[in-house]
Amino acid sequence: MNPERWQELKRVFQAALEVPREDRETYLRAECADDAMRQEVAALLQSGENTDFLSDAAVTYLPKDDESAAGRRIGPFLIVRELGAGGMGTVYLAERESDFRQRVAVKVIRADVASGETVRRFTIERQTLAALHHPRIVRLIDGGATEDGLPYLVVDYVDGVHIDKYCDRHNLSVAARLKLFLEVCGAVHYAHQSLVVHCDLKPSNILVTEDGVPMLLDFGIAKLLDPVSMGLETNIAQTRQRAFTPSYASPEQLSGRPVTTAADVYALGVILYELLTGLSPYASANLDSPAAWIKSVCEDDAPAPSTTIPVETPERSSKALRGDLDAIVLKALRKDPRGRYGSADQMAEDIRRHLSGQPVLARKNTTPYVIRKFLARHKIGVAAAALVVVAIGAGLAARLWEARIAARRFEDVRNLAHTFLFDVHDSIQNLPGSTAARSLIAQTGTAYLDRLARDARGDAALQLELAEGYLKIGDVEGNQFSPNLGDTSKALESYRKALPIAESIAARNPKDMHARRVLARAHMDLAGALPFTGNSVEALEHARKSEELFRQAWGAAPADPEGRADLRRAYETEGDILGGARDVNLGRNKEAGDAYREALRLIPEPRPGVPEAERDGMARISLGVKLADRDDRAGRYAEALKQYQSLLELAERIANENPHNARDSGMVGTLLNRLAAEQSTLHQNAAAIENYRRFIEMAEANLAADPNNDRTRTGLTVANKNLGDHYFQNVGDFTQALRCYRRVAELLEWQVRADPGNVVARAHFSEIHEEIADCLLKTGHVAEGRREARLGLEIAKGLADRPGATSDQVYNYAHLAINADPEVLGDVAAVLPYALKAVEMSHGSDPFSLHVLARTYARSGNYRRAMEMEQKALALFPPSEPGKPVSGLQESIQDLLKESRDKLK
Amino acid sequence: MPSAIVTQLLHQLSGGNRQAIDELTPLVYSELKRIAGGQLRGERPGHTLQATALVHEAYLKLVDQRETSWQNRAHFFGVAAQVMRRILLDYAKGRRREKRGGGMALATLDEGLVIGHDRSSDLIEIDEVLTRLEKLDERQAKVVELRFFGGLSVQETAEAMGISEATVKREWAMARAWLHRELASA
Repeated sequence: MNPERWQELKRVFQAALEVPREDRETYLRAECADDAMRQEVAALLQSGENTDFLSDAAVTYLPKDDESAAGRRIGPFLIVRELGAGGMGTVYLAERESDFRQRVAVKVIRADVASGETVRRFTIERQTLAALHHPRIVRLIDGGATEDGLPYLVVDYVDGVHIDKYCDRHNLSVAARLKLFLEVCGAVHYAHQSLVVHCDLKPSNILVTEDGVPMLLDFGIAKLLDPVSMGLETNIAQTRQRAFTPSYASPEQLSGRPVTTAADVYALGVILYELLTGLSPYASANLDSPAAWIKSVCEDDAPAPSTTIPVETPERSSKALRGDLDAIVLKALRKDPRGRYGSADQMAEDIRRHLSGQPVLARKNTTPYVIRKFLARHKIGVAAAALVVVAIGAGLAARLWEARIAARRFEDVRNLAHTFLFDVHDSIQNLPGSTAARSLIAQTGTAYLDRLARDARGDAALQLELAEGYLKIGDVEGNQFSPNLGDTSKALESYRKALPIAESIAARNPKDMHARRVLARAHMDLAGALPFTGNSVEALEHARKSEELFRQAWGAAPADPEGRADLRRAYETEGDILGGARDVNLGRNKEAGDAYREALRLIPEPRPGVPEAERDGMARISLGVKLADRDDRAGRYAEALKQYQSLLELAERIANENPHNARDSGMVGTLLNRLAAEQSTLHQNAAAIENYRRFIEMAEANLAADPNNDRTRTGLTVANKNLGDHYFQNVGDFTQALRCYRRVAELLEWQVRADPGNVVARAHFSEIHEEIADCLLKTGHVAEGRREARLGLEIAKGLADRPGATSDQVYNYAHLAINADPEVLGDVAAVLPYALKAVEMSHGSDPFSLHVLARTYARSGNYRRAMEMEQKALALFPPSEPGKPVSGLQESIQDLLKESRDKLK
Repeated sequence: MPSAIVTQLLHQLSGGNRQAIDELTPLVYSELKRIAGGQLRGERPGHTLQATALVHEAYLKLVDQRETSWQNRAHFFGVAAQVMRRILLDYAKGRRREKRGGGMALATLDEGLVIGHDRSSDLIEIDEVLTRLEKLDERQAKVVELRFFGGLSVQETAEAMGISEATVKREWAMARAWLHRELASA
């Protein structure tokens, strides 16, 4: 480069800047003396597009010397210096004290931002990294807390360069870049197989060492298919800042929609785009405002990589990119996640195909060759640890192949596999943390089944599988017997789809016991779900139907233990409907007891010397709890306590024998909860508090690990409520009670939002406002207390006014209203109709509603009636033995009786 | 307080005495080093270090405002930027000695990270490429020195160099493009 040439270069370059972009090419051709000059200027122009370079002043390139940190000890490591700092924490370079050759990076949470949310994310990162063992993923070495109690984690120190810089520095050819990229795909795929989505893949998180080894870093916002990123916890999503890097975020991340592994595939697409072209796919996007830019990403298609190369060089040639690589990159960048590669592995495979000259899938549509390849690969997928095609998908896929339905269907089945549906087999559904993953079935599976339903006519076996498919999906959505998402109305929809299909098959094939069982299951599933939306009467019909059908099926195959188990479950369901679960019952406690005992009889006795099967043990406990609950409700507290105690022991034993089964530890929690409640009733205060706290601790940890688990959430809600009640009534500590109740409100609010059809949750939600109101009033916050009380009443009244309202819901409102501050309630007379209705609906056999009616009368001045009701209520209790404690309810009834008598004198 | 001396030297510089630079530099150097070092040790609040503030602070400390003209100021900044370059490079090289292989890497980062990696090595490379630019185009390299190392604005740079703002912008645009390209292909 001589001075004249430089001046010429400068002249043309600066002039070209003044020319509009689209005319530059023409301008250059006209102005430049030779091709070399033209290429130089073009290269400079392109290089100049990079607006970040040198925009920071030089002094910012030097990190601050955190002298206070250097030399400090963190665990077994000595800090050398700070590497960087950010919003969440600081990263230090450190050495192992005992072996200074081991260099590590220590990341410590910053003290001033160590909030619950930050710590939680930190913990997630640590847990995520701990679970990942891959040669291309940075290794977690250690973790702990500093002397000041700040959490830290220690990873390998990776001495490397960002992957894009590395490729440029070493002038890597297209093939070499692809090979490097393949290694990254391998690491990402491994993470996905461990159910981890990175969520923030970008070149600065992929470092390449001198030896050309790429390493994946920074799982700081990785998700274990987390509910927040799936858009379920909308209240949290609003207050939270975007944690991902906008340039690499997928359209669904930007619009707050559910995030899956496809988001990582998208990011990989962007990275590959940049490695191949040096430009971002959205380089020409609208940058006026973040909103405009987001719109671009979500709506505008990125230009094919081969079309964006302004200057051809050996590393960047449009010829090399045209065709295969264009197709691969654009497939990964599809706006609809389902249109992308289903996994990083599939993307890698396509790249490998391209490198070995084979046809690339991204460019193909449907051909028999593709179908055959899919089914073959599909088998490998099934064998893989956690990611399994839905059982219905696998079964149906085989059938479809046999039935030779249109090729279009294979695309559907392939899409099914591509979006990572998980098998709803027991082995997986009881693993902690898998709830969020299962919700994918709900979304994709239903749509798929609906499409398939149209084609399944005429094929009985296929239709039956279809019905089973709907039932399985319903189970995932909201079945009380399996870990679910708590979305009852969705579940009902799915079950209702299954029913007519199963009915018609069973009717046409009366000898087919399998069809009969499927039909029975459909009835039972409906029976289980209906009470939660308030349709207990219909539920009972279905329960009875299912019992009949299961009995028939079992009769036809008496040796089948499944047949017996099915019938047992049907009876348990009937018991639940009749009066097991307090809020959704028809008020027929005695019949419920009968149904439960019937179910118990169906559990095989364990053979002497042989430990009972886990499933049978759990069934025994579950029924035992429901029976003990009845004792509690009837006032036989000591009896209930004894049963809970022995059931707890049984549950703990089973949980110890099956440590990975979340359901078993869940049962321990349930029993702790009930035991504590009973102890509270019997005023064994210290024991009660201890057991509540034990349970709450367990449940909070479980909920953190699996925030979508409805069961855990419910248990935690109940425990906090009970503990709050305990503090309120037994101990008189209203501040503690308030804390517990507020936690309950938090949990219920989540539930109400996630499952709007669940009236039980809504009823509880109204009650808790009243409790909170009480505490506030007791601690002197009158105005706030009244506000809460009014809110709670509104919610309860709404439920009670519903056309299909159950006795419990009507009772709840009456109970809340009568307990409310007169200031809040207003006219007491308005409560009377509700109180009367509650008694009527429970056939006068429910002491609680009788008591509420009595109080309503008393408040209205009608003490005679009040006495009548109270006497009726008392008659329902077993005769009280002197010296034995009576329930709070009995005490209240007796108090009111006395008061009424006095008033009538 | 060396401000009297500095002011006088600046006068001499404006009067055409190029020798004044040699005497000026060490004085400016020590002051800038002191200020910069203080900032790097975190004695100033905030994450982003403000280069312009440094240079201005040095100016305020070293130069008697009442006695100097805008020309003096321009000269001062010209010198200061040069000095800053030396100081920062010293720091950067000092850091490099601590690491093996001069790599720039970081293990785990989280969102909101201000300094992505140890860019001090970048600084050394930029300096090296800038030296090459100086041989091709002294004026353009000076613009970079003032803007990037000195942290001066377009207007201040124009003043310090006695050229128009438009010229500064053009030179800056090309310099950036050329430096970026040189670094990318290095």
